[in-house]
Amino acid sequence: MRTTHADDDTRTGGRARRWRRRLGLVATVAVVGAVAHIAGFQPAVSQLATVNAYKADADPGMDPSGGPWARIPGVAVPMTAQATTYPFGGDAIPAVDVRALHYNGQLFVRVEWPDSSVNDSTFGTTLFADAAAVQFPAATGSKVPALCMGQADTGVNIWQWRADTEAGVPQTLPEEDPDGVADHYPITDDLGYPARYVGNPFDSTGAAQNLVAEGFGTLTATPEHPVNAAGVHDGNRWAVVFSRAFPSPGEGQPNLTEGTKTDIAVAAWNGQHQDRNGQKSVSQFVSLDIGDEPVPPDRTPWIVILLVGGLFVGVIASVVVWRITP
Amino acid sequence: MAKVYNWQLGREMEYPYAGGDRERQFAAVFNINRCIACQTCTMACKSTWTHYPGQELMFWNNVETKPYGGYPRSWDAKLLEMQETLDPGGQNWAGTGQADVRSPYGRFDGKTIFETANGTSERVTGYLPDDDEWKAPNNGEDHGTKMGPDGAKLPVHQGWFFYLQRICNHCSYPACLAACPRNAIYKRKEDGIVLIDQERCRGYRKCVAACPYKKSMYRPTTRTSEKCIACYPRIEGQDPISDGVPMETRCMASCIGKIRMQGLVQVEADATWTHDPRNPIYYMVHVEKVALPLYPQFGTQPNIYYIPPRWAPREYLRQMFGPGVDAAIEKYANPSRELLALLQLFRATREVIFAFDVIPGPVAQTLNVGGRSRTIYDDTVVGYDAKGREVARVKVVEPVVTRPGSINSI
Amino acid sequence: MAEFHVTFHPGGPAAAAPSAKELEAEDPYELVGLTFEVPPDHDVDLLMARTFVEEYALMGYSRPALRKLFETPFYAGTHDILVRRGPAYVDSVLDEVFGAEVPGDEAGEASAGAAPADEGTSRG
Ligand code: SF4
Ligand code: SF4
Repeated sequence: MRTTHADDDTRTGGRARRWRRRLGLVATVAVVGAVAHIAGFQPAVSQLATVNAYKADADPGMDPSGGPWARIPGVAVPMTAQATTYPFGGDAIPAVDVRALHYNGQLFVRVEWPDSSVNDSTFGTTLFADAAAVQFPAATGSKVPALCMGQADTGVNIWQWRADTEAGVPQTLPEEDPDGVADHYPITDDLGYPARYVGNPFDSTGAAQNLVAEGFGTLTATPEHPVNAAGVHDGNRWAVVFSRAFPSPGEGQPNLTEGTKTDIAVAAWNGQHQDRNGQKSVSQFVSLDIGDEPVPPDRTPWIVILLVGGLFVGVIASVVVWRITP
Repeated sequence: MAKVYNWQLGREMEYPYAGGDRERQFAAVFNINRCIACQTCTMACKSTWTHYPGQELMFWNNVETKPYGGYPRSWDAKLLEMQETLDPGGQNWAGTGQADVRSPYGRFDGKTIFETANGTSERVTGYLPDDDEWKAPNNGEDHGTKMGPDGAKLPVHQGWFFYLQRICNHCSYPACLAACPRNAIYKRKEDGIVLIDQERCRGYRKCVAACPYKKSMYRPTTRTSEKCIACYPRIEGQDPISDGVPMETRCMASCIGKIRMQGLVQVEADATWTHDPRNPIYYMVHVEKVALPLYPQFGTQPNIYYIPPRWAPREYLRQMFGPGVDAAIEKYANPSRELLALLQLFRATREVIFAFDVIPGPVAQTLNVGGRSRTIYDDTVVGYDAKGREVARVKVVEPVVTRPGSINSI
Repeated sequence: MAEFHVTFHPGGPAAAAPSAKELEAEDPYELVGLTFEVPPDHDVDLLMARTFVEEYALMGYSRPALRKLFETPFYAGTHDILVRRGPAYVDSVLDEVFGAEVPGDEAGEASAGAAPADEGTSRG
């Protein structure tokens, strides 16, 4: 799922593949929509809402459009503009749909939200990326930390996905800009990329970052990369799956297991609106319950049969009505 | 918001952080009158720091032709307009300059870029230029207008203009630092150099939008912002040829027009300068007041000081350098013996000069400048490095060598 | 001092006419300038000429050396003023700075005068 520079022969090849995937998804989403409607969303009322992590019987993988996601209910979590600390802003995303699964000691969280524009390049001073993040208290069962970034004694762990880092790192101006020309780069070793040289997490391919924070301005990426993330855009919406193995990978990161009850908050950024950092849409904390309830079996064929059957009956009925009407 | 003292404005002002801990400040004097826009400084910087992929549009040092050019395009006019909109009719100076170091230009009564910002979504008034605006570093310099049967023609300038040499001002109250929500930008107490921590930077570009001089720039290949680093290894005296004493930056040391002199000044806790008239930068800024800060009204207390061009319309210069312009030009056009000698010390050595002395010499010639009699003395000026060792000794009268026409071929 | 000979070869050897290209107004690299009205009493040539002359005179340049700066086309700034305003104008500027009667020394030969008694400045 991870679209990196290395696995694309060319950027355009990668883009074409992604588009095919997006088109395929439009069909899936129609069904997801129908099923979600039948299942009914659970409206989130701040802390009262609970996201249940269902137990999957097969590896759901990192594809947000994959089978099991369609069979579990989404929790609609309302979002507001971040207005606690500088820089305020970001109110482009009214709500996100949150779902969760676990399989074989691995938690999967899926976040979906409306966004009609894909902003997956930051190759330009005014370009900002679409992004999403989920946030957990550093220790499960601890007092819920202040919503934004935790506080000095109770930290938070944040998993962030960014559309631009998933798309890869562009290397030079000419590579990114068809009109760009460079005569010669005399030296291209890492010393010329100070951020890379000192291990800045943004100067790397990879869609996900694992961050810990204990208050504003303390957000720090962990040197290890225990979190995976992958996003797909269907033309109107982003859907992103995050995953991590249950055991805590280190300090400031929650230890999870079946039976864990903790909290989860969501943030999302719309690159089109130049959202970044505090300029984002944020949710309150909602409960996350990693339970043993299995993912409901795949009823899609039945629903399709029902829909097609209903349509068939309807058509027949219309024809009959039309025939017998003078 | 804390209250800090800005001596260039002659008053306290709002700033997100309290001042405090500081010892020395990186500073320089640029003599605009002598710049020929050869861009040697620009290339010295580029070939040292910014020739890597992703830095194609970056010029930490640039020289732009005023009033036409700007890098990025119209950076100053845009910000001046924003400030005027947010503080209508208020961007004014009051009072007169005082002899002390706390208000040499009077008092600025308008709002700074920190004071016009709303404090919630922005801490600093500014804007984010798009990439096209960075693509023409010296628009308005001599350039061909039109290809025709006779080739391209250059415009012959008949109007006045001047070149403005710009690097990061390593401001005493940096806007970039104030705007960074990550605390990724810091100002060093030992030399006042402002740096972006490349490990903490997450490419939010708040500093790019906030810097009034547009000297923090975004690099798309690392997704971080980068800026002029004041060639800090040289300032630290790490270069083997400098023998452990601070050495001038690449852009300063390469200046063939001899317009630049760089120094380190001692500063107090409130960022005013410690009295030190033997320091050439202190002498030009506070004793002679011949060198002025660039757009001091923005409020960052910038540390590159300019000797304004004597031929440009004063109204324009007063907006750019504040109310000290007329006195500065008068001082420059009719320099004291010491200032005249000191001007010869520009680019006489690559070591940072911490002190200078003038040894009186004989009369060189007598002029009658604008009806006023002027005697030029062939004084000798001596510069000393951080360890007090003599590093330069030059005379006021420039030695002239005239080559015969027959071998004058380039 | 040797005579300074300058010969121009405008255009160089005959070549095929280069193609013509008109300005494109929407070209983002075209000059997007700021213009300022020059005040009516602002004699640009005079200010520039005075600046050049005084900058060099303060470093000990002699009047003949300075006049060369105007005569030599390699010094575009000063030479343009000579072309635009004529030699008499240049001489009047030189007169203003050096005084009409002062005969020029050879370049660089500063006359060794008496050490100053009362012209010193004080620092601090
Ligand atoms: S000039 Fe700009 S980048 Fe440099 S210290 Fe000042 S605000 Fe920061
Ligand atoms: S001080 Fe150094 S880094 Fe800064 S502009 Fe000059 S050469 Fe470049």
